[in-house]
Amino acid sequence: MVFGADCIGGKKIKPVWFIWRERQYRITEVTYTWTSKEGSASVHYFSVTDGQDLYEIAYNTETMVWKLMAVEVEG
Amino acid sequence: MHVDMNAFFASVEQQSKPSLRDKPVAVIGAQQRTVITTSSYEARAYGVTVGMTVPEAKKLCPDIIFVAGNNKKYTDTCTRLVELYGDYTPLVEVYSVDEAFLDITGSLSLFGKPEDIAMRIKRKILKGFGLTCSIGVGPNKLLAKLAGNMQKPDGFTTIRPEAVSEILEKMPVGELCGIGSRLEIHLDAMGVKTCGELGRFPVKELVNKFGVVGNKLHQMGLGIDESPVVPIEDTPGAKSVGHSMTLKRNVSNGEEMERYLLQLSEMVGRRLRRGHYFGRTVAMTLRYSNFQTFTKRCTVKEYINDGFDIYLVALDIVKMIRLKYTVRLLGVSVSNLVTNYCQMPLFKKDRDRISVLKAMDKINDRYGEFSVTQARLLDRYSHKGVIAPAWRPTGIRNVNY
Repeated sequence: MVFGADCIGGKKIKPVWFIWRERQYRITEVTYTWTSKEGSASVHYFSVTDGQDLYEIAYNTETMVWKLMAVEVEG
Repeated sequence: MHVDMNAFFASVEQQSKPSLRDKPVAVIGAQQRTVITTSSYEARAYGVTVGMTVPEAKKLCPDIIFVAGNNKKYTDTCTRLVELYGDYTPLVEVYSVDEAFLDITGSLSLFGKPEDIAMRIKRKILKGFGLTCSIGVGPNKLLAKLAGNMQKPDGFTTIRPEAVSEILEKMPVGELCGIGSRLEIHLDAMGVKTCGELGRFPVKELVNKFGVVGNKLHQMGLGIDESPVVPIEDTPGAKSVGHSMTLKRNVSNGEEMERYLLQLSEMVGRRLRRGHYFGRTVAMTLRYSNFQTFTKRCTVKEYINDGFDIYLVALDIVKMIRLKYTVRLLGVSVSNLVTNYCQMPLFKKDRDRISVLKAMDKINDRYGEFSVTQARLLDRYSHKGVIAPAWRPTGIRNVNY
């Protein structure tokens, strides 16, 4: 999986797009964010939508790895 | 000032998932045997309340949408909210995961009137989180909370000192924080229904009936509360540290129960060590399938904080119990606490054990809880639990759910 993100003000991460199963998804809205400590790593979770479905993606600040955690298909 | 997040868990879920907005939503535990922890205002309109089972809620509101709660999401939101309050005053008391008291007395010269501060906070919460809150302002914590409860959701109410007696005169006593349904029944039997009546009721009779609480009740009736806003850093140390879990299914098997006890004991031990606490009294709570619940304690000679030592004491307690029914819930806690206790072990075997424990803690700090653990716990119960009322964003009361 490939993720594209903006870094706002050198501090805030904002996911912009991701490629999953050879298809690019453009994030139209970050609906919620939260952070969790997993060991010494901080994992930033983003609830995002491409205007149709809802995705939960996570960024581990220690491993610098993005992950698609969940997909909720509308309908 | 009192800030209460409206239908907190449900609102967070509605904000996270746009398809849930304006719909009846109930947040439930992640486990199978669960109850409703919060319902949205749309669900409340059907009578769905906290503590109801899923079928009960479904009966009242057939279209209700159940969402499995995400404690990490809620506790992180609370932590960030507390940071936001800190922009207006350093005196923030986290009352629960969705409620806080702010002493803004010293902030008025910086930020203006209480209404201005309240509106700024409301705007920031809405912009940053998409959530609404009810804010109450009053001369003390009792009245600020009462004010906050007067207008929900998304409300703002001020109780000014000169209006206290008029507001309390006809206010039912049950509206006051600290007067629960049982106490309300007792007061009702004494002919006390409103705060005005409570304030006028002879204090001697209240003391006769309720002991020291009687004095407090008299003051509450008059709208007097001298308790300060206690920020997290000034919160008194823990009196006990414990964990409990509703089991995946009822158990009667000793071996299965022992594994749950070991898991709980290890969790308690980790938290004790994180806060540099040791304890001498181990308590084990057990709930039967018929919800009959009891706690048994055992005090040992040595102060302990090794999960395995705690487990051995809990096991001794279990051995004294003849189970009458299958077990639904187990809990382990340690009290009689001291901090920074140090007893040099005499024997190499004990010194080695401490070294192993330190190494395990380091690994688990680095890679997460139970990354290294007892072999018996490799197949442990991944229990998310509920956010304890005592949960706080930092310190020993902070639990990483």
